[in-house]
Amino acid sequence: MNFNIFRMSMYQSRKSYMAWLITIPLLVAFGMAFYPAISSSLSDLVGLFENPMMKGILGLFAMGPEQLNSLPGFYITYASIYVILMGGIFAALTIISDLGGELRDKTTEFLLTRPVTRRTVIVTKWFAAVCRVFGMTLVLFVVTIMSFSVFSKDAAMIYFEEDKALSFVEAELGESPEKISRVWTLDEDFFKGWMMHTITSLMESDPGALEELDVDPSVLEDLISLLEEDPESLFDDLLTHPETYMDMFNIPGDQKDLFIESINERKLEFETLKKRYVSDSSFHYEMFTMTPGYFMRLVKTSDQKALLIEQYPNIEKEVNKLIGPYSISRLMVLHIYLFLFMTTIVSLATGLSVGLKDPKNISSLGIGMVLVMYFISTLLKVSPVTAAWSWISPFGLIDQGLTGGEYTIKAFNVGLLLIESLGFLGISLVLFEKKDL
Amino acid sequence: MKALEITGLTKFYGDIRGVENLSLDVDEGEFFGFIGPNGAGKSTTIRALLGLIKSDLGKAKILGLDHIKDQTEIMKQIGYLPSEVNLYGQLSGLEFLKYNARFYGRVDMNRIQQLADWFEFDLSRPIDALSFGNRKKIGIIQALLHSPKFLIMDEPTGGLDPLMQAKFFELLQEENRKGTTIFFSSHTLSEVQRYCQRVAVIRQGQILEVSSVDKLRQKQLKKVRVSLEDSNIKTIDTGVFMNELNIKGLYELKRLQSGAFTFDFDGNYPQLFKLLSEWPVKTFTMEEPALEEIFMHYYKKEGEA
Repeated sequence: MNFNIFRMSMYQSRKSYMAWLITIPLLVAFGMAFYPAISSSLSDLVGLFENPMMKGILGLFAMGPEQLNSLPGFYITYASIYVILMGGIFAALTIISDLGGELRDKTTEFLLTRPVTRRTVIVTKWFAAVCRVFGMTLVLFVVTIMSFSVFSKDAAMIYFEEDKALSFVEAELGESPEKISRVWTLDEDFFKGWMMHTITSLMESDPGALEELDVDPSVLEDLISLLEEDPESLFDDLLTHPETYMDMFNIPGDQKDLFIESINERKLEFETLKKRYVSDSSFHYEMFTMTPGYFMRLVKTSDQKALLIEQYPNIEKEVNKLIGPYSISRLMVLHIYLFLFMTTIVSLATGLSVGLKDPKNISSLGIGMVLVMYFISTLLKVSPVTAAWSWISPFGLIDQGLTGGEYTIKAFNVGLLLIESLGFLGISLVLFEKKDL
Repeated sequence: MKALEITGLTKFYGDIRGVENLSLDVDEGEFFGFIGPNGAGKSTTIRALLGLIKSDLGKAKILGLDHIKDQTEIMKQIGYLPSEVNLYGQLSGLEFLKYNARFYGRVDMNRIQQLADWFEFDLSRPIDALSFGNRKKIGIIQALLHSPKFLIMDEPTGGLDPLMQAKFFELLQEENRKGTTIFFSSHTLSEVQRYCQRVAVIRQGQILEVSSVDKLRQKQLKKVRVSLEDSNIKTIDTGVFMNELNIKGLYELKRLQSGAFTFDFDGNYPQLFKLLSEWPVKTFTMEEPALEEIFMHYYKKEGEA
C-alpha cells in the first residue's frame, strides 16, 4: 500500500465516482417509487403472470405476483435487474479507468520508476477501487432503507424466521387469551373463515374421501359456498330435505335415520364450537396453539402490527423480528453480498487490465465481460438443472432470497466470492510482475 | 563505486533483437553519453536497466545495487526522463509535480518553483494542454526534482528548442559539478561531443566502442557541397577537378545533376581549402551528416553494404 498512489487514485476518479454515486442510488429510489402503483394494481397483473410465455420470461428475473407484492420482493425483482448489473459495471469501470487507463496512457512507466514495487502499485489501485465499491455499497444501503421507509406504510407484511420467533410469541400470548380476539379481531365473521380454513385443509389432506363420495364437483362447490356463507341454514336444509342430499351422496334410503342422526350430531358440534368461539376467549388460545403461524399471518397491515405490539408490549422486539414490511438486517446481508460481488468484479477487471496486450478497448471489454457474466447467470436460472451451476458467474453467487425463510450469509457463496476476489488479485500480481511495459 | 555496471545484458522481443550481450560501465560523477542511431537499442538498454522491461540475460548494478532486486532503493536515488513523456493529462503541472515529490518525502515548493522558472514553465496549465516541448520540460523537472544522485535520460533534447537545450545542458552541467552522475542517450553527435566526458556508441544492439570524447572528436565527418562558377563550368575539366580532390579524408565524391559536387570530409581542412582556392568556387557549404551516415562511415561492419 502506498498512500500517495491511493490518494491520487481517489482524486483522479472523484468526478466519475460522484456521477456513479448519484446515478445508481437514484435508480433504486426511482424504481421504488413505482412500488405503490404496482402493488395496488397487482390483481390486474396476475393475468400477465398466467400467460405461460410471460411467466417464463418474468421467471428469468425471479418475478412473480407474490414477489412483487412485498416491498423487499419488489425491490429484489428490480434490484437484480438494475442495481446488481449496474453495480457490476461500475465496479469493472472504476478499476479499469484507473489501472487500465494508466496502462493505456503509459503513465505506469512514471509510476514504476518511483520508489514503489509493482506489487504495491496493483495492491494500492485494487484497494482504492475496493474502497470506492464499499462507499457505493454504503450509499446504496442507506438509500434503499430510506426509500423502503418512505413506501413501507401501505406495504404488505412479510414474515421472517417464523420458527425461531413463534415460540416466545406463543408463550406470551397464552397468558392473556382475551387479547388474542382483540388483536386478530376474532368475531363471528372470522369464525366462518376459520371454519372454511379447517374444512378446506381437511379436504386437501384427504382428497380420497371426497372422491369416494362420487359427487358432481359443481354440486359440491355450491354446497361448500353455502356452508361458507350460512352454515346454519345448510344444516336446517339437510334436516328438512334429507332425501335430496341422501340421493346426492348415494346413501341408501334405509339409512335415513342414521343420516339424520349424524347431521344432528354435526349441527350440535358446530353450535357448541361457535358458542365457545364467541364467548370463551380461552378457546382462541387453544386455536392459536394449534396453528400459531396461521394467526401470525393474519397481521397484514402496519396498523394490525401496531395493535399487536400495543397489546403485548413485552414482545415488541420479537414481533419486529418476526413481522414487518422489510427487515434491515436482511438488507444488510444483501448489501454484504453486493459488496463482495463488486469486489470480485474489481479483481477480475484488475486481471483484465493487466493481462491485456493492447489496452485500447479495455473499457468496452470490461463492460462486455460483466454483461456476458450477467447473461450466463440469467440463462442458468432457466432450469433447476442448470441453476445448480449458477455459481460459475459471480452474479449467481449473490443470494437474492431476500423474502425467503432462512436468509443469512451463506458460507459457500461468501467463501467463493472471497476466493475469487483474492485469486484474481493474485493472478493480476503475477501477470503484472512479468509484464514488459 | 561505479554508478552503472552492465554485464552481458540481452533482450529479444520475440525474434527481434533489442540488445545482445551488452556490457557497459559508468563511473560516479561522470557525464556520460550513450549514442546510436534510431533503433540501435538505446531505449531498450535504459528500460531494461530500470526494470520496465524484463531482460532475458545479463546483470546490472546501479549505484552498486542490483537493478531488479533493489529496485525500490535505486528509484529513490535516480531521476529518469523517458524519451516519450507520458503523464497524467488531467492534472496541472503543479498537481503532478507535487504528486511526484510525495514519493520522495516532503514537497519542496521552492525547488519546484525554481526549476519551473529556469525552464519558463507554466505550472498551472493542465498537462493535456501542453505542447510536446513543454511536456518534455515537465519531464525534465520531475527527473531533477528530488536532486537524485544519478540522472538517466533517454533522448532528453528531443522537442526542445535550441535555447532551451542550452539552458537544459547548463543545468545538467551544474548538477554534474555538484556530483550528480549523468547518463543520457542521444542520436546527435554534436551535443554528446560538447558535454560528455565519455561516450558509448551502440549499433544494432551492441556496443561498438566506448571512448573519450576527445577521441571521438577526431571523427568529425562533415558533408561538404561545392559548386563552381557557372560561366566556367563547361570549360573546366571536371575529371581533373575530381581527380585533384582525391585527398586523404575525403570520401564519396559525387557530381550532382546541377553541376555541384558533394563529398564527406574528415581530413585536413587547410589542405582542402588550399586546393579549392585554385578553383573558381562559387558556394561552399558544410553540414553535420545524419548519425546513420556517420555510422555507415566509421562503424560499417565487414560484409555489410
